[in-house]
Amino acid sequence: MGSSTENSAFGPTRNPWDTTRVPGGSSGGSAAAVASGMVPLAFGSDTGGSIRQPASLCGIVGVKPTYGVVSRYGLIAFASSLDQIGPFAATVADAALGLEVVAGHDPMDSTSLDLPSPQLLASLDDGVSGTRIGIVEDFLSDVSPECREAVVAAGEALAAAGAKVDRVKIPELLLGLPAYYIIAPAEASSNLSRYDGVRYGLRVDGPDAETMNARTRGEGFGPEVKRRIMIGTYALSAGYYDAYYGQAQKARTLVIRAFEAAYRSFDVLLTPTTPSVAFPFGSKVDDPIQMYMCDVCSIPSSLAGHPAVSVPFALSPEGLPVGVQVLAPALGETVMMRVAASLEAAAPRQARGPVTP
Amino acid sequence: MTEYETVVGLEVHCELATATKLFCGCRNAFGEAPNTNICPVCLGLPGSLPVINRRAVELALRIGTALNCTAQRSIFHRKNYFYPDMPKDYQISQYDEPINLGGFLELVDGSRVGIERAHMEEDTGKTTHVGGGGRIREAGYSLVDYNRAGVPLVEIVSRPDISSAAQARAYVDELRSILVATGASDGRMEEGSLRVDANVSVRPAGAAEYGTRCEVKNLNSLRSLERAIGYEVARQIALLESGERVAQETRHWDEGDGRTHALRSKEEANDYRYFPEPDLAPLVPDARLLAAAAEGVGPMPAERRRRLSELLKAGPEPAERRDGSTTDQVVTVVDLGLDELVHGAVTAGADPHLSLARAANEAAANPDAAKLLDPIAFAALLKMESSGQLSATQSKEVLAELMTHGGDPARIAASLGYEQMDTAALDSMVDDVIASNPEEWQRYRAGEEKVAQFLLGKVMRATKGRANGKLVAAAFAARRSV
Ligand SMILES: [Zn+2]
Repeated sequence: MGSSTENSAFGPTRNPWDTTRVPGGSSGGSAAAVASGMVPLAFGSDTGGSIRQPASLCGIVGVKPTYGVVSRYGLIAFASSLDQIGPFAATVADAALGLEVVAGHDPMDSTSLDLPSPQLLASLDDGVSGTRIGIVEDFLSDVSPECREAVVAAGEALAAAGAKVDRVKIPELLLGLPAYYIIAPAEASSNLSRYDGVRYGLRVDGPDAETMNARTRGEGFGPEVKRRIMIGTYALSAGYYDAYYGQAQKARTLVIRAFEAAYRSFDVLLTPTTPSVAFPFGSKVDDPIQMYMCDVCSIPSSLAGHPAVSVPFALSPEGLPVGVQVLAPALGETVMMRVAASLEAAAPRQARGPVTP
Repeated sequence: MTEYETVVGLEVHCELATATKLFCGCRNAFGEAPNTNICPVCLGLPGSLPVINRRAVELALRIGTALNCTAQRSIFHRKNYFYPDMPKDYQISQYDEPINLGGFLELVDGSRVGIERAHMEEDTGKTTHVGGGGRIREAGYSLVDYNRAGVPLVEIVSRPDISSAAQARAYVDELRSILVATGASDGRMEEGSLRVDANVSVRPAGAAEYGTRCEVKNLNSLRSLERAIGYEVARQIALLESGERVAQETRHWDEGDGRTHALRSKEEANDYRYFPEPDLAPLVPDARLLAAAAEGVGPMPAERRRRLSELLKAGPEPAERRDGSTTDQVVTVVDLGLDELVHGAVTAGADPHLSLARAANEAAANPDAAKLLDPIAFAALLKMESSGQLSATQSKEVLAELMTHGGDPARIAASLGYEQMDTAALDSMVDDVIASNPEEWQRYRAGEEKVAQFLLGKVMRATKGRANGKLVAAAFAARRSV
């Protein structure tokens, strides 16, 4: 969990672009493996941005598909209503191919959509002529200059390629972050219950079952996981449910409605993937709120179950990759990947991995 | 002393008679070697996901239909708690949007008990705490059998409409026959297919407010249900009479000492942190499923009892009471599913009361065989009995043979040597008995009815039981009135 891999039980992963910096997270290992050229394709799980955020920080492509497009059977659940599997690759075409292969209906997953795998590669190079693209202004103010500039430049590049680019205000999307940090921990607190030492997880014995449970969980979970279990447990408790979990679900509905309204005017939306480029190890690990803020741009489409992709588009003054995020409505992967391909074509080659650490 | 009234609401957990579990393909079977019917899903392996069993939904809808409930769109919730009987540490259940809402159950005496809801959930595994008096905290070690984990349940929650221990028993009894009749459950309380918890409270007669209730658990039979409620009512009244309060708590019925014992109070009750199960989609019963459920539900026992009673009204009242009361016979026959046999026999011309009596007594001794009886053959036999062609004893013998081997009743009667005695032979037999027992005959003529049995016995012995008792009795009566 978290946006840096610093909470991993196996130790942190380093960013191949600068090994003193985080690769993003939580699927930072997969991102670093692709970004360093160890593998051409990797998969990760994205709950609030765990594919897109490390893809952006590592200069590669990362896709979170529509909820239900890829089966969750076999994925260790974090927040079941948000978790999705998606590909990392150095190019949009490789990522599209990876998604085509793993997408499709699975009778073992009740939330899996009964649809054939999307055909992405066939129209990947059809361009963006006439495509309506909205730059979400709400995510341009509280991000670093290079992240803001990358989005503006991406809009210009797409307009030059024939797209109709406009600005749009969707302030409801800012409700996403607080709602997410109630809903995801609530579901996680339940999903992680089974690691109680009886059948799953580390086991630390005690004189009775209750003590064994408590010791097991006390030693088996790190501080960030414990923090989320406590937040989630609290949010679901009798007397607090309506004020927290119930309220968060309402905010989630507002986010979905706001997206619906926006997609009446636009085919896709454009935002930064992250508020900043890769940060040095230790700079945010003691400040959970700062760490949670890393997900502010990626969370809304997770809450809505919509697809989103991060494409490397620029380099920061320090030479670190900057990604931009393309959002689409549910099952809008085809147009989303086509826009991503156009961005890739317009981006400088140096902004994209693999790199040699 | 204040007069009190009893208020009882029952929660009945019914295991559905499906081939497989609620969310996986494991066998739903009782009494197999521990942890043999398990898989990644019902063991809660990380990464596994539940998929709803369509048949379980259909059976749950059948139960709802039979209990006059409304079927609605429903969702599953997670009920979170730490206890090793669920490997996931949560149970998938329905909470505030159950599949069946509102309804009622009509009891044998015609009273109605309201149904709050009948919702679906998965059963838990079975824990055995070894040592420490069987409680987890003091146990030396605990064993878990996950064969039962994930078995589909429907929990039927009654309204607090039950006003006595006897009515509670009648409710569960009636519910049991409904669950069996719909094919939703085998109804075996002793195997845990049916588990009952009782919410019991008392209040001064006529009071508007309910008293504080206690939930009584461990009611493993109809008998313990009735005893436990009786005990609990007396305990609560005694508390109130001595000026004390009833504490809201869960109490455990001890069959051995015939008392309930406090388990845990409301204050230390679990907070289950219910929230919608994100791994399952909402359950929207489609037309096909609703039709399949409706098809599986025939007329309910109350309706069938009514139909059977109507049938009896059509026929003449029996001259004498046959074995047991008519009401009991109706209940037995409907319970065993032999009412169709009776209807068939009456349609084929048999006497309704005789059909009912033979079905409720002789046929009921072997209900499986009785269900296979041809109503036409059954009717033919009963007609032979009514006309005096066969005695009651002979008719029962022929019926037993008919149930084991089938065939034609007349031929069976002949093969058993039950030839019809002609009237002349019977008359001379009766006269012989009168002649050789003059003293008894005089006492009989003087009105001493019990001597009739003696005289009848003589004739029966002489004919080796072939004579029809009714005709013989009539022959004696005729000679007396001359
Ligand atoms: Zn199973």
